[in-house]
Amino acid sequence: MKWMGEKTRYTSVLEAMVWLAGLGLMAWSDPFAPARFDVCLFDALGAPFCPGEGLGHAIGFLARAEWKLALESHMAAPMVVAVLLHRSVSLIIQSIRTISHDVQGYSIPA
Amino acid sequence: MSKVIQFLPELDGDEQVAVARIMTSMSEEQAEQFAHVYRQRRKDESATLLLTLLAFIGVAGVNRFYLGQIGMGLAYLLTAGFCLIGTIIDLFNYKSLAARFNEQKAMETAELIRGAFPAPPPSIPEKTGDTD
Repeated sequence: MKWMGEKTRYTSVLEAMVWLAGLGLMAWSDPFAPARFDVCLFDALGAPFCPGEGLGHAIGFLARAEWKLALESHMAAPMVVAVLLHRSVSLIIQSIRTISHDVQGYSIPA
Repeated sequence: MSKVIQFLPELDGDEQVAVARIMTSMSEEQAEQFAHVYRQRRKDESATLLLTLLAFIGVAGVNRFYLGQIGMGLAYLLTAGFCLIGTIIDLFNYKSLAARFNEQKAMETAELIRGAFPAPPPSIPEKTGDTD
C-alpha cells in the first residue's frame, strides 16, 4: 500500500547500490595484505583518531569467516554489515513493491 | 492542488506535488485533519542537513536517528559515519532521505485519516424547480 514518487524510488535503489558496492569492495579486498592505501577521510584530514579505523579490514575478515580477527579489527563490524545489508535489502524491496503499484483512493499518473 | 495550498502552504517542490495527489480525493474535513497530523510527523530537509553536518565535529549519524533509522544511526555513530564517507553520501542524499521519510509518513497519515474520518456519502442533489 506504499506509494513513492519516481525520484525517491531511484534514489532508494542508488543508496542500496552504494552500500552494497562498499560492502562488496571491502569484502573483496584482502585483509591479510599490507595496507596500500587508507580510505579514512578523518585520517586524511589529520584527525588523531577515527572510530571507523579497521572497519574495512574487519569486513574483509568477516567475508573470509575469520570471526576473531574481524572482531579484533573492529568490534562493531558484524553489526555494521547486518545493518547495511538490512537497509539495502529493505530499500530494494520497497522500490520493487512500489513499481506500477496503484494505491486505492490516490490518483497516480503513469 | 488547492487543498495543499489551503492547508499546508509551507510545502513546496516535489513534496507539495506528492501531498497534493494524496489530498485530491479527501473531503475538506479529512484534508484539514491530514494537514494537522502530517505537519507534526514530517521532517524538515534543512534540519536533516544540519544534523548531517554534526559528523564533522565527531557526532555522526544524528540525521539517521532523526529520520527514524536507529540501526543506521548506531552504525554511523560507532564508525564515525564510515570514516566520513557515509556522511558525504548523506550530504548529497539528504533531500531524498527526508523526502522518502515524508512520503512514507504522508501515506501512513492519509490511511489513518481515511480510517478515522470516513468521507460523508455523496449527497443526492435536491430537485429544484417549481412544483406548483
